[in-house]
Amino acid sequence: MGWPLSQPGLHTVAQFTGRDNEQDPLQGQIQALHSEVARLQQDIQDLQIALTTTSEHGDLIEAELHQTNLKLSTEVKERQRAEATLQALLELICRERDDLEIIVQTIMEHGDVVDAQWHQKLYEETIRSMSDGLTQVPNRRRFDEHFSHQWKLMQRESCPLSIILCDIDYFKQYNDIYGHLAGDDCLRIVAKALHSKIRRPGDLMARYGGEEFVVVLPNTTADGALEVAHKLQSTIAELQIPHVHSDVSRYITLSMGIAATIPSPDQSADDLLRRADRRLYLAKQEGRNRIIYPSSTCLKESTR
Amino acid sequence: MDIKTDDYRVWYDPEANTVFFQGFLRLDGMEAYSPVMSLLLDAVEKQPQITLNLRQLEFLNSSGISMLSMFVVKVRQRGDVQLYLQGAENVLWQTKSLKNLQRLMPGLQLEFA
Repeated sequence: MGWPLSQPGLHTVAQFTGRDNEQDPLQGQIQALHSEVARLQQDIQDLQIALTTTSEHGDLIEAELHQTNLKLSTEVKERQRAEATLQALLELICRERDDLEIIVQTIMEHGDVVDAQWHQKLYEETIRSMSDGLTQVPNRRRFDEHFSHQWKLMQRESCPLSIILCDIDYFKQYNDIYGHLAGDDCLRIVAKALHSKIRRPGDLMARYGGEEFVVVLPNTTADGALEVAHKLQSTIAELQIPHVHSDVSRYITLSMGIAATIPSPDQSADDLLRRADRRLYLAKQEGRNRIIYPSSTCLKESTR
Repeated sequence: MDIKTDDYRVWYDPEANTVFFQGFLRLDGMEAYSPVMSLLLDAVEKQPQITLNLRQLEFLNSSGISMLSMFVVKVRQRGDVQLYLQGAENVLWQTKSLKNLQRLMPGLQLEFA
């Protein structure tokens, strides 16, 4: 590697060659040098080729890397876009899920509340169907059901059952004098007053029809019913509803018939009702404003 | 825009920008409610500031409240609709269910009388 490679060096070797044949060893050296030079030149060429090849290969690799990089960048962007789309979709699905949950809850609660509303309506309708339209107290239908029920109950328990039938005295005359509207008002006032005095569980006061009212008193003897009847009569007297065409008082009065029994299979509820009705009739016959009860004692109430 | 039967009536009053509901609305299934839904959507198309007056609507069944819920969701998705609901305090279902509709669309204005 220490040998000169320049042309002047080669020229010097040629000069030695031409001058002296004895210098063969030198000639040999020159040839060796030539060979070396040729080899080195070949090395250079090889190195140049290797350099070119490496360089070109590097460029190719670089180009390939660049392409790959571009491709990856595009892919990353696409993935980011897809992720954003998925995120948006996820949010939409979450929102729809929330909506559905609210809607399901709304429908369930709505069903419950509508059910409660129907139930309330049914209850009100039932009450209405059992109430007298004019006076708002229980009607004849309610009385029939309650009386029948209490009859069976008292029969089973062998307990007394009483009923009071009441009728407003001279009500036809009241209507004739004061008019039907005033008559309706009178019925309403009397019904409300009677109803307010019947408070025990199981007791029932109802409008029986026209100006007649009925009271059902389970677990009550004739004496107990008589006490109640007195109380009702006093209550109406205290109202002091003027009635100028009554022959027994200046105010509205009641006639009452009481019937009581311990219900048994050999008698009927209608029998009890008929007995009360007969005594009411008797109360009317005997001068009105009075109570007729089972001991056949006629109790005339003093005019207040 | 007026749907009327013996049981109920739904109609749009353009002057008041209000859809009125009246009576007992108990149609059988969501399909049966599509005319009512169409009436509501048409009303929103005409005027995006719309009032639903439910005060005279005594009963609405489950399919009906579903339809109303879907309508509220559609309106919310449009984004440009101002929705007012007018209910009655003495109608039990309205006091419960209308508040749930507000959960679907917090911007919905609810007014009880």
